[in-house]
Amino acid sequence: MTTTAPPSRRPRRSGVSPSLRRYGAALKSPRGLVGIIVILVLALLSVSAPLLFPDGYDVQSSESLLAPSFTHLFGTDELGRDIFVRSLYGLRTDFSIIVVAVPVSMILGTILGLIGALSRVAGTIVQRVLDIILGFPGLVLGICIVLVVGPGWVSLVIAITISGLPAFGRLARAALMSQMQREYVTAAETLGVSRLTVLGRHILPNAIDPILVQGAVFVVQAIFIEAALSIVGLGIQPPQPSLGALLNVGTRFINQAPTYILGPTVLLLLLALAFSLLADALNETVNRK
Amino acid sequence: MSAKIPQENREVLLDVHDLVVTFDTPAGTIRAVDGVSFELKRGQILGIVGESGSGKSVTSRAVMGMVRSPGVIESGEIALSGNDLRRLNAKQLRRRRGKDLAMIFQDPQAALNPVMRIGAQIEESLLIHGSDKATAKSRSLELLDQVGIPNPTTAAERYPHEFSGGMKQRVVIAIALANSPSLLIADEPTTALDVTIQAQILDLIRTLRDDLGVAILFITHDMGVVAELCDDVVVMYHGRIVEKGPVEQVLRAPRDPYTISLMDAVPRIDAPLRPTPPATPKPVLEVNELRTDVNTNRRGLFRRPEPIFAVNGVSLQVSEGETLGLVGESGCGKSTLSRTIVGINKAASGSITIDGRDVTGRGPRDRRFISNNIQYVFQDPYSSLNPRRTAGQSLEEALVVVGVPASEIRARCEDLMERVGLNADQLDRYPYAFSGGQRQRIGIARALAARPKVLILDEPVSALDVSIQAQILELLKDLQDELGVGYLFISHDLAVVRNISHRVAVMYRGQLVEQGTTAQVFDNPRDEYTRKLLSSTPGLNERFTR
Amino acid sequence: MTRFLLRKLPSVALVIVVSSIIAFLLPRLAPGDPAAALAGADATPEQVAAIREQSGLDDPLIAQYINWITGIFRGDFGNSYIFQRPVAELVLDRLESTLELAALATVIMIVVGLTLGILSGSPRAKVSRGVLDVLNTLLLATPPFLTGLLLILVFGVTWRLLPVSGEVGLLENPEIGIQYLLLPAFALALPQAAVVARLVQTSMQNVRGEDFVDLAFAKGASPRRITYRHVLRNSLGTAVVAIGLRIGELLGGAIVIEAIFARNGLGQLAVQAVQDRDYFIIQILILGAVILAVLIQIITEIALAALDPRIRLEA
Repeated sequence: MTTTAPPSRRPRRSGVSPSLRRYGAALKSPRGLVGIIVILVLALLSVSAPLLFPDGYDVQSSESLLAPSFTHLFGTDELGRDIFVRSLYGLRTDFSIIVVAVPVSMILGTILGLIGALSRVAGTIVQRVLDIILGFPGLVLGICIVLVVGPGWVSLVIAITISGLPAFGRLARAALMSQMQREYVTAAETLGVSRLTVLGRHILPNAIDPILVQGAVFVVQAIFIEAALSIVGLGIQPPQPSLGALLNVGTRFINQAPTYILGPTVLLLLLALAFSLLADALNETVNRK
Repeated sequence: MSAKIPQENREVLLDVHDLVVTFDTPAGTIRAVDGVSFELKRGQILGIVGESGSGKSVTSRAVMGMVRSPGVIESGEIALSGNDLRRLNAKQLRRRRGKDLAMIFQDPQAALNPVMRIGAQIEESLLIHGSDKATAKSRSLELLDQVGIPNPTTAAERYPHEFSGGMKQRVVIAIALANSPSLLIADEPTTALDVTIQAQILDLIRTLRDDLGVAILFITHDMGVVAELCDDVVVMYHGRIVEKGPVEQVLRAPRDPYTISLMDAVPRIDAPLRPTPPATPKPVLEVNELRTDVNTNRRGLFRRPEPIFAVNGVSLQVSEGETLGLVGESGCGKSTLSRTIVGINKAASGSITIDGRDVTGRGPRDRRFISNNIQYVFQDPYSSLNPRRTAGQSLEEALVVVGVPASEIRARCEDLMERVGLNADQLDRYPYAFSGGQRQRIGIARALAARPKVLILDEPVSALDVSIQAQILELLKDLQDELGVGYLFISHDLAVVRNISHRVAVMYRGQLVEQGTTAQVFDNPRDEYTRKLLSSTPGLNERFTR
Repeated sequence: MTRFLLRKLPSVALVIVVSSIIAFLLPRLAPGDPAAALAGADATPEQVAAIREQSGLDDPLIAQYINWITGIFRGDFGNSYIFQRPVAELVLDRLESTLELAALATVIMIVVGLTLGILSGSPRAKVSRGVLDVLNTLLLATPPFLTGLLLILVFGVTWRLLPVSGEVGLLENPEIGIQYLLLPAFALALPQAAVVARLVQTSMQNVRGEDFVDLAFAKGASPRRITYRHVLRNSLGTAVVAIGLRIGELLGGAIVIEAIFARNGLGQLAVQAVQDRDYFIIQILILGAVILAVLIQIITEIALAALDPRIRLEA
């Protein structure tokens, strides 16, 4: 009997997993690098907003509708509140929506798309439902949700989650369909591996790439849906700020204070652009063989 | 043969001199074609042979002036009737292309524009080079007739998807011939086709040479085709020409070591047969009057869909340590048959018996029994392994399913790897780090993991280069002798089937038209279809055996 | 074609019936009582009850639904609670505004989208490719409302070239009407055009790798001919599908654009109706949106079949 520890059962892997390698490459590409840095900076700003401006976003003063200056980077609004502070808090609202709605939509959509693997009938029904959702433009869907839930954070999250389902569902289903044709899936099945294991081990990992790319694309859409609904007054309600809600008020003062919308617009664009860059970079590396 | 040889006095049409084509890749510059020189005379067929990556296709594309980016013609001369094509500018070259030199592509399915009528596609090549509409139209009908397409007038109005693969290739040839070019470049023009169709296309190409005197540069990997068709041959390896000369000389008495090994690897239609396996054959797989319905259309509202039997009353058996070769062309039902045996497709009637146990019903217990006893090896080594799982993980999956205890798995994996001629320390590599042949070895190892009694090998070597093919065939024979597994070996390649099989079955339109020992089927075929198949197979006949 | 339409009929009918039920139920799922909202903040419970009775809100749901549907077939879309006018009138009043906006935006989207897509899907020099790529990425990342705001800032506030608020019907005064229409239409169209362009570009790049493009090249075809006769021709299907999908998005975007440019269109009507829980308006607008989406989808399929001989119109 030897006393040495049993050899590690987990086999060592020489060579990194192909998918991890590719995601790493995506972040190293110029686009991906710029994207991730901008996202991280914005996220940091929004997280630290309460620390930087502990008085909150509703500090009013008599200096209303000022143009940008060093004291008020983005100027002030109609109630004399600092728009920079409100924008940071608005960014926070946007991030909070993204962080909840996007992952939920991704996971739910993927599960719905994969249902077809277990039951053909259920798969068909799910597809029909997703087709119907797809028929609704994002905003119309949002309006329907607002109608039922009432305007605010919750209805935004629900609307965004639902509007993302068709795309994720389709990608998952497409991956499912193409993987079912692959010989290694047939191989696993002839070996006698169970359906669920095949799903988890062979199909899901191969569906993840396009779903991840779509996730990054969808963040941009989520930001836009929030902004659009808030602009027409059906999103985040005052006095709580969000990037869209700021634009909603800003457009009303566009002639008196054209600089009002500048700050929130720049932040919104930066955020959207950063995520599209990331999506582009991911897409490129993922599609490279 | 002698009629082809005396051509010394013929004029040189194409003179390629010291051609170098490089590809800039992230990993560095690759010289895909490295100093290639050859001549092609009028009315001559010159074969360029080589395995994948030898640079034969790049050479042919370089002559056409269509090397794909990032490939660049670095240096060299490509002289057509004495004019160096490389000195022409893009516009001048465009005027020559399609007029003086034309190309036939490998995959006729992909080479025709799916949304253009056949006639319009032929006319286009005439219109580009200045003919008027009416002439183009009548000429295109003439061409369709010339390449053997029935009813040219109606055919011209059709779209590519309405034609079979062989017919499409004829159309592609018609397009190439439109302006009566003096040089025709054919890049593996029959590789995507069935042997009987291949024989027809080769016939057509030969007739065109004889009737029109067109010179043909014929790129292929198939030594048999070279032997049948070409006058001279150039053998390429790693971007260089290793040997060139008249076909008879190169194939019969190759001098270069690579050519020698290549010729040794080619399965010959007249090589000695495998010795018959030891007596007392115990059948491990028996298929009786099997039928499989592949009509997947859902039942209509008023009528049941007509069954389509891809497998229609097939009976065969495979014994321990024996190989049954199953030959047939695409669409004959051989893949459906194998998929029915392992349970991917459902049997409509008949029975499947494994080791004396009827498993046609496929109860849950049957399934386990089937997967323990019958395993499958796939055609495409690139798609039969999950790119995200290491070789070890793929083997592990197979071992876990048959209940090998976790403590033994690593050892068993290592054992399997060594058994198929790989190193145990390659277990933790991902598939991308393996070559096609190595992947196929892993596929075989995975199939052997459950220690099955029968392996179904579905075209296991047809995606591989001929030298790798020979190695895999040797491996399969060794494994069979060692483990006593029975093989059902499916292939469209008669030479390969002859090489590995003890007995052979020929499948045609869902039925077995002939079954017998390898010697019987190859030497005394009784069925007409078998005879046609045999005569279509381009052979390295006695003339070329060393 | 007729056979195709006939075969499609059942599924189209099903979609419309289901969505009519959803359109009917959705507003009723919401908390709050429209009668109370109608009656105003200081109404007595009796007044609220009277209003509810009068508007038929007390009837069972099924009766209300049947009432509504049969009304639609008679051209009676019900009465708006808020405006106290027939919904049909309200919708017709606003239809012109939205129709003009959507039509012009669709045209701009198709023209700009195809042009940009073809330009970036054709081989060209590194610099111009880079410029096109950046332009497209920027447009893709900018949603209609942002394009709108930027256009307002540039053309309406800084240079004061075009009016940015309000509208004049084209039928009334084409010359001034188009001035009011241009900015919102561009704002609405450009982001969608970018999506169309990207899809056309990707499709063209994929098609360019096909063997038949090599064959055309081997025929001696000019780059121009290859791009238009072979590559683009095979990418048109993608373009049609993309355009079909984007028209729906475009209509959704009209809601925001109308808000930003202070246009009195259907989008504004919808927003108002949602805020005030005006059932009949919401119902008919949702139903209308679904019917339009179905129509667009059928037209897309027909166009697709016309473009590709491999597709036959069989549902």
